[in-house]
Amino acid sequence: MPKLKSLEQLESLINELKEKENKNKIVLKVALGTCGISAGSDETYEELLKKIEEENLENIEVIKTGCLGYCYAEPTVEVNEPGKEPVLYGNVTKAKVKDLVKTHLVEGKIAEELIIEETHKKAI
Amino acid sequence: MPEQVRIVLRNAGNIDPENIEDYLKNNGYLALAKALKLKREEVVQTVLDSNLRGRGGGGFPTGLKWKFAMQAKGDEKYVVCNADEGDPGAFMDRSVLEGDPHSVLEGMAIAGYAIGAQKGIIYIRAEYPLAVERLKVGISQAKNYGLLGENILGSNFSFDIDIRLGAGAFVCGEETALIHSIEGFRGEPTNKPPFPANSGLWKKPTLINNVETLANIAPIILNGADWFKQYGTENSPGTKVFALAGDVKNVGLVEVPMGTTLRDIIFDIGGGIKGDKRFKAVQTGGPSGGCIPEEYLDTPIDYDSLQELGSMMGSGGMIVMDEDTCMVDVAKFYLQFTVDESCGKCTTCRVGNVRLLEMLEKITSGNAKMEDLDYMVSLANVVKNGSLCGLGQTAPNPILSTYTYFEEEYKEHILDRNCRAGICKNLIRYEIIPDDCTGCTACARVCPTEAILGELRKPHTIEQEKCIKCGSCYSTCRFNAIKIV
Ligand SMILES: Cc1cc2nc3c(=O)[nH]c(=O)nc-3n(C[C@H](O)[C@H](O)[C@H](O)COP(=O)(O)O)c2cc1C
Ligand code: FES
Repeated sequence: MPKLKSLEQLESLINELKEKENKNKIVLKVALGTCGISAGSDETYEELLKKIEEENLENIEVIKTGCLGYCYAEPTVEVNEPGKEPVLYGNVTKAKVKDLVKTHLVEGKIAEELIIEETHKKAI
Repeated sequence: MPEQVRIVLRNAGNIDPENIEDYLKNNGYLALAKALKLKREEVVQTVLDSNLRGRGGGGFPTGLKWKFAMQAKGDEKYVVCNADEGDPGAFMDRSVLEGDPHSVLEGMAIAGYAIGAQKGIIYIRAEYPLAVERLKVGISQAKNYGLLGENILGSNFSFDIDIRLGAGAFVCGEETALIHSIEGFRGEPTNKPPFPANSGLWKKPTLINNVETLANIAPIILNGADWFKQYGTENSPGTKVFALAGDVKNVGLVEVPMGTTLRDIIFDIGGGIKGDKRFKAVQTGGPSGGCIPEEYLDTPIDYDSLQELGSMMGSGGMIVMDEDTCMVDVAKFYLQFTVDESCGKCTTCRVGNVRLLEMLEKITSGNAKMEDLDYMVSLANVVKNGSLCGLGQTAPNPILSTYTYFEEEYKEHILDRNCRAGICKNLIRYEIIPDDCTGCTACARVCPTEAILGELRKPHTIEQEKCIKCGSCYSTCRFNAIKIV
């Protein structure tokens, strides 16, 4: 990446990044702050990758984020589907990943028993 | 349901903190680019207009501090990010750094431009390895993009950021102690003035801001002071991140507009008290703060209202306590913390706090007299008024606030030798309720001092002389047949 030399270059890079983004993919966000990791969210992350591959699911990206704020329900996984409100799952331990992938990503239903009521609201 | 508003946590939990492109996609570094097109004075003016107050605890107007640092004479200046976060129970700053390091780096670079500094230093405790790692990744990525380092975005402004690890002493979060620690000396505070803005690191003008304060800067520059002021109260605009902990159902991080009430945070967002017990008090402000009882739950939270209640905003730790909490014991916990963390430089803090702790121990062990209470309060005021730095000046707050709101509990400990919460060991007894005891022998088996006697299937009894009040029997009994009296 060559260094950015002006406001205009930064703006065009930002636009490029926004456009390049695949708006149709499903994004799974796994909270990997210190609190999440101590509750096993790194295992959850690895297991998600594994199960998604096993199920041959495409168009899904799993990203590591910092703490979402729901420390009491770690590990947490937020499922963002294009055009839908994000769904936030709590206490998704490694053992529960299989259920989550099957119910939500394969069958397209909400895994009710894992859900956290309030979803993550953005300010800006 | 009160809404959370995410300004500081705008990206935390939403983006990959180790990928600068994720930050850029959310208009990252646009505020820095915009600031570089403005005059330094204009940047400072925007921060002044926003009325942002420092989130590190004191609530000092950030714009004013920036203005002093900008006006200070000197070709070398520093921006220091205070990431020491020493309050027990607090983890807001850690979450911001782990979840969105660039928001802090960008805030620092804007501050650097505004005051005319070329160098930033993040002072962070070594106990935060993940945050340190993500900051390092962030700094190197930002440099690769020309967003930190030489001639940022083609301008003639250069700014570099270094990380300094602190050993995690509470007093090192105090700004003068922090400066000494970075300089390689013991983390001991010194008198102010001179303030760091005029004479800080290596006697150069130094701007010290808290993590959360800095994370607020980019949105303010990008959206303007009026946008910021639409949130919060007139004297405390914006939001505050709280680390909700203790006996509350939903432990975690919340970011709410200033002026949200304690009740909204604890009972709506926090989901109320665990195990449906009764609320007793909420502790805010860490060791510098105090306990707030139920009758003030509807107070809108901002810097001034919490201070009026004898507590503090502090950095945003909020520890909820249920009916099984002994308020004298809570005061003792915080005082023990201060005594352990005092640097020992001034007498009032070094000796005064130890004496106060001894008083509390006397009360909780049932050996105090009523006169001791007056002595305790007057000594607390001496420590408050006579100490060198903020640590000593606020150390008596937990005592004074619990004494103000829970005076009768102090008196019960002394006059009735009773601890109503059943916490203070010397003042309680465990007894077996004969009607409820099935004689299962479980309690007798766990008792480490063989203080429990009885035959199988017959009610047991506790020999008080042998009992060391460890509570093992109480937590083992499945029939609720043991009571604390
Ligand atoms: C004993 C003591 C401990 C402190 N610890 C911290 C801390 O951990 N983090 C912090 O930002 N400020 C802490 N402060 C406040 C700092 O001295 C300073 O006021 C603050 O970092 C300024 O930043 P702000 O204006 O952005 O709030 C502490 C103060 C005292 C007296
Ligand atoms: S450590 Fe500052 S007054 Fe004691």
